[in-house]
Amino acid sequence: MFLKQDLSLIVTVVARGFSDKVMEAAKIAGAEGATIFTARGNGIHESDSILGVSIQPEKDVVLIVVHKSIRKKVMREICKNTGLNEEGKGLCFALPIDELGGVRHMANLVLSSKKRASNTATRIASAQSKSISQKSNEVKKEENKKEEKEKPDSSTEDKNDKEDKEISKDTEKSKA
Amino acid sequence: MRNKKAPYKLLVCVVEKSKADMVLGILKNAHETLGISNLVEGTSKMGSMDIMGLARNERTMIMTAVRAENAKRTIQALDLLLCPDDTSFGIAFTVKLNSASRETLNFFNTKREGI
Repeated sequence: MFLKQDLSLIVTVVARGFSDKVMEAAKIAGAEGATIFTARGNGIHESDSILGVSIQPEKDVVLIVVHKSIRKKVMREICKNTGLNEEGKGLCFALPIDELGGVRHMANLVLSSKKRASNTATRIASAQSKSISQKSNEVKKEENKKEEKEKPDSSTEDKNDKEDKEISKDTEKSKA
Repeated sequence: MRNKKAPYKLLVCVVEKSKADMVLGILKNAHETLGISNLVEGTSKMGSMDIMGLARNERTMIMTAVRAENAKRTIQALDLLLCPDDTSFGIAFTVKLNSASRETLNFFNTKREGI
């Protein structure tokens, strides 16, 4: 199973031993797991030497795959808890993932989010159609009211007819 | 040296140590034989083994460059290996490569031709 454009890879580079803090922060924000490996830093601000022996600081690199909905939250939590907002503490960046395989529950998460998106779209469409039908009903009612106002009163006409009939009866009686 | 748009993707596969050779077999079948293998540490729980403190967190990470048109098929093959049923033995994903040096692309192309 493979997914597209819904997942991101967060890469965090920190000093050796700080990977646990990164993981704690990521789990708080909703991440589920990570892959950690050691690396060696080679930045211009990191090179140092003691007694002529150059020292290259050891680093921990943490890779976390997350859904795009929580990516910013995870990165913010990592930067806050690990002190990445300060200079020289490390860095954190995200890459888009094209295809993914091997993680069933993440596939279900993406499918459920897609379902939710389609459900909201249908709800919006039905709400719009309802509002349109309501408006059309209101317009019809107004038109009916106008038509009723323009029509003459049938009740008064009935009364006049009755009076005429009575008068004609009276005249016939008088003639007789 | 000019950087050109690379028609390749970076494939990263993190798998249990016992399955690493099978992953390399799949990549070999897909003619993606150049890769970097690294020993890494995983953080996912192993169920009851984790409770007893016997969970082994060691994993193997294999990184290779795959052709963009082969990426989908390769990931599908890896998915069948990594997730035969509801259990998961690892994860595999691809990341787009924006550009690569000309020498790198030449090297990838010659590798595909069997040299």
